[in-house]
Amino acid sequence: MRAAWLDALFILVLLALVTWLAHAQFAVLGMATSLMLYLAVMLLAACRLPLWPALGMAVIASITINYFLVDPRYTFAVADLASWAALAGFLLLALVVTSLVRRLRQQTQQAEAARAQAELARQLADHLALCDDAQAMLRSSTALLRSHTGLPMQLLRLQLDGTLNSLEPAREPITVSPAAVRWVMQNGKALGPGTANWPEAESSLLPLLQLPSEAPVLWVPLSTAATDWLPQLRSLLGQIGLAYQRLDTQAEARALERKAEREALHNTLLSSLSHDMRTPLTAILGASSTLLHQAEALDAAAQQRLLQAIRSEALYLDDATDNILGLVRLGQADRSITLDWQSAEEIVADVLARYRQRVTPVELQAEVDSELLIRADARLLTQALANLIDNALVQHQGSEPVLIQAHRLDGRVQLAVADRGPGFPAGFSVSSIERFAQPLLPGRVRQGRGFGLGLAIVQTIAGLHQAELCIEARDGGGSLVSLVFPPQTVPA
Amino acid sequence: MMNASAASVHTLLVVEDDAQIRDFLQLSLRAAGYVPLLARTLAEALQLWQDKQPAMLILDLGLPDGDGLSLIKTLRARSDRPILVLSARQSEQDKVQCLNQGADDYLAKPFGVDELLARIRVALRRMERMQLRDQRYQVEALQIDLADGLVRLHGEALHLSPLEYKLLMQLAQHAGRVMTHRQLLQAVWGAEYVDDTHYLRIHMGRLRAKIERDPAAPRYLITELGIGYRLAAS
Repeated sequence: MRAAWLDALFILVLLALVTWLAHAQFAVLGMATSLMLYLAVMLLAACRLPLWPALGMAVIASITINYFLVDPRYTFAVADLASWAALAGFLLLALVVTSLVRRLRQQTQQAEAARAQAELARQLADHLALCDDAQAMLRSSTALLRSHTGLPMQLLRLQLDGTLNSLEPAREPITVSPAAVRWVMQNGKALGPGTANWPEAESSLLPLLQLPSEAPVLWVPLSTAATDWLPQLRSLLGQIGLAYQRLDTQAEARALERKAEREALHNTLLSSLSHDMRTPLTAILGASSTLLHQAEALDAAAQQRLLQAIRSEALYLDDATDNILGLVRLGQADRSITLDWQSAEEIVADVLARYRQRVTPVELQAEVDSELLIRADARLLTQALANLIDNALVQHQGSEPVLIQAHRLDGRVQLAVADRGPGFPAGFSVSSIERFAQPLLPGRVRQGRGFGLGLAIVQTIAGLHQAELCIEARDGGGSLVSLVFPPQTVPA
Repeated sequence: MMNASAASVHTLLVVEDDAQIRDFLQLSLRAAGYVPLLARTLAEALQLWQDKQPAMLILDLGLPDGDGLSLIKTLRARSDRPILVLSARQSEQDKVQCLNQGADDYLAKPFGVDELLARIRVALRRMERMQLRDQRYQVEALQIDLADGLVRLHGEALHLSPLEYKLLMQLAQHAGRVMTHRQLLQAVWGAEYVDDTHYLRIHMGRLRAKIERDPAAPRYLITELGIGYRLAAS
């Protein structure tokens, strides 16, 4: 407003200047040049002022010309017809120029507004294409609309307790009624000024989707600017609504997938628990109750054997607990692991020591390149290796020991377990390992921890390390199962 | 039945909240000739530690009234008597923290009595050795003289690089005790290298190659996976 006043003042000063110049130098300039000077000022006024002030200026200019330049001077009277014609011609010209310029200005403004709207629509479309989280998309899209329009809008959500909350915390207090928001959600129709529903309301509520839904509603407090923007806001909201629907469906699908995965893991755990835990517990209970109640009937050797059995089953339970805990952890939502440089020799030695310390020691043969480092999680890697060895032991036949190798392989690192068993069934491949496959094979022996479950765990651990699980037939019979780690550079 | 031949009878403070485990610890420690003092909580433990001055502390980390780590800090500030930590196998981070705070050793649950007694013997012997200023380490063929810095394998002087030598000396000074990766890196390479575990892995590998007959089944240089290393107790 202040700028318009200044502009008007500026035009008035120019008018005064032109009047003084024309009046003082009338002999030189003559009527025609003077009128042209006035017209120039009128052109400027038409550019700088709104329509009515500009027209007013034209009238003021005509009166000034009449008073100062047209004979008889210093009166509002006009002496002759020619002067009347000149004055009327000037006024007409001034009015035409003003209205023409005015129309030109309007067209420019419309073109600019259309360009701004198109730009906003383009930015919004680009933005929507990049979003992959519904809530974040809604928040950032509202921020984009707000910064373009300068309107204090926010997305509101109706909560279960019937109150409203904004998707973006710490914005202006919400003054719209929850009932109005509920109506918009239930009907999928806009409400408030500039709409067909309750136009006398103090703010507008626009639905994201043009149909009944649970989606949030855009609240635009009332202002003149808001009414201008409303049509475009509604069409942009349509775009946002579609993106919201798409992301919402995706999120739902992901949630279902996770649920299915959790359920499958749950089943695996249950079957693992019921078999892997209950069998050794039965043995422990049996042996200990025999010792408690029937010790006198047993000779020393038999008692010793029962004690050994209790110890060996307890050790097995300890191993099984490790594996099951590992499985629970692998199944957790956040599967981040801490990688550190591990010595292949130490990992292999640790696993070998466990097998050597068993009640019936298992001899394994190790071939490890010296100074070989693997970037891995030590516990997961030993768990994977132990599972591979367990599988190999189930299959293994003959007198030569199961072989454990850790080698460099064209920049990569291969950790392998090789047995002399019947090999994997024909058609078996890594891709057919179902992570949640029924873990227990019929006829499974105790020292193994299950065929499918073991490999599934190894595969998950491999994935966490970006390593590849490979299964191949071995020359001379048996299979070689290996983890191949991607090339890694040990820092200097 | 007390072990009458023991020169001095050691009193051990056991802090454990599970009644079954407390019972089994009491029985086996008594059978091994120690006098166990039992505490269920950290508060009880602190009281007994002050009143009875036990020779060492055996601490279960998962106590109901708080954090065993703070007890380790408190006790370490007051005395140098050994602290042995009992903890679940999966919680490497807890163990490393305890060791870095000054615990002498740890034992992962579940454990056998034989293992526990061995760890107690090592810890108590460390106290005696500190008092006697015993400067010799010997296990089977490996001899280390801490006073003149000589390392012998099968009676012959062993040639070690300066880093390997420093590493072995660190372990020998705390023989039988686990040293965390951090403790070793700090002592041998310096405080700014505490995260460079690959140095440690490589030099331990070289040390094993020189000392161990079968590096995949080490006899002297024992790896505590995810925690650190220990030199087998003499």
